[in-house]
Amino acid sequence: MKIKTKLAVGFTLLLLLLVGITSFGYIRLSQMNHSLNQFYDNRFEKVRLALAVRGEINSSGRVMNDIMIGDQDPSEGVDEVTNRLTGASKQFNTLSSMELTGAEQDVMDGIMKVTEGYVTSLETFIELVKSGDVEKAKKLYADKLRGEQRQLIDSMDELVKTQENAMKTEMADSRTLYDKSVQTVALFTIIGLILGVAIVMWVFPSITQGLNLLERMAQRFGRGRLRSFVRFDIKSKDELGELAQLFKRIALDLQVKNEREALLASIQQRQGRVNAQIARVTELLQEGHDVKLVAQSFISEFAPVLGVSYGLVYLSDPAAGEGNLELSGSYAVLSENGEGEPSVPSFVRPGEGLTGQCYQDAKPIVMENLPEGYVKVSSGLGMTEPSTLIIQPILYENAVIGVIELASVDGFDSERKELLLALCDKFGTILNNIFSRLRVEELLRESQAMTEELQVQSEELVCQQEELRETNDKLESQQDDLKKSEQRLQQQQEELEHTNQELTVKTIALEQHIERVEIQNRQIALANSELERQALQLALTSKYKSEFLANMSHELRTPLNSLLILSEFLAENEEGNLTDKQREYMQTIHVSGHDLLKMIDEILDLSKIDAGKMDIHPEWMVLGDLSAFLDNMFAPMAAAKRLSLIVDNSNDIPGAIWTDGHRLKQIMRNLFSNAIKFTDNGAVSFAVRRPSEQELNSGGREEGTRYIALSVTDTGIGIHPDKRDLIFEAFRQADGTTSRKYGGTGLGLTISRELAQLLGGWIHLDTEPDKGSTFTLVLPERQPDQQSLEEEFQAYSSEWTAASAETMEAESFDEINVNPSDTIPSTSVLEVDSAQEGEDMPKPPEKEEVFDNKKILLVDDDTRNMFALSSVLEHHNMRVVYAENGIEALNRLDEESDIDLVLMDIMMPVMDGYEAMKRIRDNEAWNKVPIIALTAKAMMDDRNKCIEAGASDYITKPVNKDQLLSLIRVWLHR
Amino acid sequence: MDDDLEKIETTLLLEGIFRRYGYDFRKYSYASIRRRIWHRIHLEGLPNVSCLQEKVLHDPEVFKRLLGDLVIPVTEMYRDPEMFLSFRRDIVPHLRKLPFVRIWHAGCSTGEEVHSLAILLEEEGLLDQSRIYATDINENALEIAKDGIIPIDRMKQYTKNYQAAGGGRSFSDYYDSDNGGVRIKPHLRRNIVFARHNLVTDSSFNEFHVILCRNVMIYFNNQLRDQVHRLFYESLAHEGILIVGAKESISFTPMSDRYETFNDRNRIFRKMR
Repeated sequence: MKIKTKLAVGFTLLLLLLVGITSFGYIRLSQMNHSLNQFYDNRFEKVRLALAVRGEINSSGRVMNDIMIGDQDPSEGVDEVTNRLTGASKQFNTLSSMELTGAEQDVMDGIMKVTEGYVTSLETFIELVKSGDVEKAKKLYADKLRGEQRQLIDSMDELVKTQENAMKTEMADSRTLYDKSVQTVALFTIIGLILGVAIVMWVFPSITQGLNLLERMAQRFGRGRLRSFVRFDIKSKDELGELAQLFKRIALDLQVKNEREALLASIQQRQGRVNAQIARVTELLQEGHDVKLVAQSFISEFAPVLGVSYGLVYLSDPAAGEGNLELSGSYAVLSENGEGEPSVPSFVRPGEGLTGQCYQDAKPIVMENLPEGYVKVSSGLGMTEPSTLIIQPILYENAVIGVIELASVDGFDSERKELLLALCDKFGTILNNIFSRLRVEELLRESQAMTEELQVQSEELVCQQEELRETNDKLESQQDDLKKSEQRLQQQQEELEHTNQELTVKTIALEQHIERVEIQNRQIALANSELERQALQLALTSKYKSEFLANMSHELRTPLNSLLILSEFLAENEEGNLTDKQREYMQTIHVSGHDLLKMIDEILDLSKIDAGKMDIHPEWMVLGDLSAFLDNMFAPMAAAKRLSLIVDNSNDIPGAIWTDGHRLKQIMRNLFSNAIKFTDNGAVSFAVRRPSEQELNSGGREEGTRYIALSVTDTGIGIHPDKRDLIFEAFRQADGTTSRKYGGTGLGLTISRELAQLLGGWIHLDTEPDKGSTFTLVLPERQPDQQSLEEEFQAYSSEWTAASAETMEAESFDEINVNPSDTIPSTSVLEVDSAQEGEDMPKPPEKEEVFDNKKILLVDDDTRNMFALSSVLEHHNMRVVYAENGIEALNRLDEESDIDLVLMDIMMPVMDGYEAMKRIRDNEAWNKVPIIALTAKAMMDDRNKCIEAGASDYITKPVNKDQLLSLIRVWLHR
Repeated sequence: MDDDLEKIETTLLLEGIFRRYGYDFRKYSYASIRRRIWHRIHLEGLPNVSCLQEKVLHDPEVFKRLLGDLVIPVTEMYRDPEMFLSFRRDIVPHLRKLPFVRIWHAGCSTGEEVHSLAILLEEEGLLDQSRIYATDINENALEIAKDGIIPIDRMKQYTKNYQAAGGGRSFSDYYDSDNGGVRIKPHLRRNIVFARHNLVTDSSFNEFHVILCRNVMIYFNNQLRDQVHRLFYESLAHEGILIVGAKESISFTPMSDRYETFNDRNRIFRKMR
């Protein structure tokens, strides 16, 4: 039975018992309470009332006695007796109203009868007393009343006695009941006790037994003696039994689990040992390079681990194909005859012996219980024979790359076999790594050797190329020499022809002369011709003078230019070692130099015109453009002097005229700057219109030609009539004194006049002192087709000289072109110089062939640089072509196909050097032209930009002459 | 058979040159030496190596010509500009930390690269605290190098190289030219020592911070190359720099594991231990 049931039954019984005892006690106690109440409320009350009534009656009797004795006033006594009897009757009534038993009723009835008599007698007595008849009253009392009184009291006493008897009986009943109750309770209690003990005796043992079992189990569990749980026989089927049963099962489960874990741990341990060995293999052999060393260290290291007392490693090099196995490592192998040679074969062919068979089959071979004498293991102390032999293939990706042969005295257990398998697997991987590494290394080595051999060959080739080039150069120079002598021959021939020609000319002249002599009679004609000849002579002399002037000013420019540059550099005072005063002097030098340069330029222009060297390039000149040009140029200057500038174009003029625009602008510039210079207030105006008759007549007007007038009018100082012609003369101003107010060389008008003539026009002056002047340029309106003849001429002579068209007679033109060298005055001067120097200098630098006749395009907007550089270049026999900006440079390149090198300034207006270089490089035709960039104090970035833009090289400003020449030499070199 | 015979003849010729003139080409790469010898044989109009041997041993002029063939003076200013760029960017900062820099340019030939290096150091402000030892086996080449003469026709290429090598100025700052030749300005040679040195037979002469030996060892056989590598290793200071030619490698030499690769592309290595 379950403990729960047992406890339930036991406790229920005990509870029932307790409830019984309690209810019994309660009933009895209520019974006793009831009888006690009865006792008190009934009997005791009745006794009390009876006694009270008896007392009252007794007292009334005494009062009556007193009255009769006279001790008491009868009336007072009567009142007292009446009172007392009234009280007695009240209590009697109470008593009689109470519950009465039969016996009591009987007594009560007797009392009632007695009372009636007593009351009547008493009333009579009272009457008597009242009436004062005491004697009679005494008699009544003595006769009747006393008896009745006694009778009443006795009845009363009887009632009390009855009551007391009843009380006694009731008391006895109560005692009996009490005793019975006590007995009953005691009985129940004893029964309860016995029952309790019985229950305890019934429930306890099963609990303690169960707990004891559990405790024992817990103790064993605590001690880990799980295995002994099997022996526990648990019979009880109660809760504790079940618990124990559960406990047993847990313990047994745990036992099973523990055993499993232990097994697992041992497996893991074993695996760990294997892994450790594998890790060691990797660690030990990974870095090896030599296969044999690796094999040897493998067998040396792992034979002891595998418990092997004899071992061999055979390997085959996969690179060698299906080759033999080669002995690569051995362990404890005896040498044959003790001479160090191993007693085992160094090579094994596939299929040869067990080893070869294993190699062929890629399967391990195990031989247990080796026959005696199969192999010996020995040490200094003795010798034994192994029992087991394993031949294990070393595999890598299913290919056998070697075989390991091991012999053990005490056999191989599974762990060792497993370890051997794992080691061989790893060993295979490592060997393969080493093999492939060796292969890669070999390939690398070969490729490196080939790379180097290639380099050697390429250098040899370069070397041979160099030799070839030298030979070539030699050949070429010989060819050049040949060509030169040929040229010399040709030149001599030409000279001869020339002499011949001259001779012919002379012969003709002679013939003419003869003819002239023959016509002696025409004396006047002769004199005339003589006069003409003299005039020509004069013109020639003047021309020589102009040429000299031109040459001289050209030569003057070079030194002057350096003076300008240097003085400017000094004035900038970069080193900060000049005083302000000195800087001022420098600036003065610079400004004066500048003026001088301008003057020389003007002289040069003038002399060019005089010498007939001024080129005229007619083109369509848009007159609107001219106006705009002048407005742009002079508006700021006019504004500075607070003069108004008025431009006025008449309607009846053509849009464009065929003339040299550049020269026209030059003239207008001169006139304009004069006008502004000599005007202090008022206005300067420019007008294009038809010329007036007066203006037309003032120059060499050609019939049938239309003219156009460009006039500049000012409101300035004007010119005195007798100085009119003077101002057009060279170096003259109206005010020729040294203290004159206005600066300038005085060449502007002279040049303008000459230029006007070159353009086929003239300048008309209309002036009034202090009122102002009007200079009018009158130009013919020519058409291009009118000059087709001249253009043909130009093509023929390569230099179209205005002089030939305008100022010179056809005859003199021939004379001028006789000597071609005249057209290059600077060169001729230099040649004279070098010829003089040539006496003691073996080879002057100017003669350098590299530079000879090379055409250099100089792109720079700064005229000073232009002059400085060009003078250097020209001095070295290079021809210089100019451009003021990138666009012009591109145009020049377009026009002149044979430019050898470009010197390119970077900072220029219109199109800068970078852009220009990029454009040049974009054009395939100019791709190869070397460009040397001129960069000002260039920073790294600047230079990079140059190179990126396409410069071949760069040179920094200020340009060092020798450095520039070195550079040009380098880049001109073929 | 002919090949073997030719080998014998060549060996004898080189042995003879070594014994007669002291130039040791015995450990040069055979393939190259063979080509150079045959080149000379053709130019001299001879039938075989033995005939050349006869001439070379008896006629020093012929030997000089052969020597010119054997010693290949191929060089350029800023050859492999990227190497010089890397030198400027990566090596110069290290050299700045040194109080004095010693550089050995072994096999300097006609000095183009030495001058390039000098210009580079000058631009970096290091030339005054540097000494460049420029050595070569060929005395003729050294004479040219000492004069700083450069063929003018190469200058365009050199200018490009200079720019590609990170040159910061106008290249023409560094040379003068006259008709037909360019001369590197002498002040750039103020700290260059030109000397004859034979890598085959001579030993080290100092400890250096940088050794350049570019496209020299490619003419050597493996044995000689290893020997020269040992020489360089012994001559380098700790963390010294070794620079070899763009097509060369220090792998497979006995010293390869003593260097760390400083710049693989430009074949710059640094001695580590």
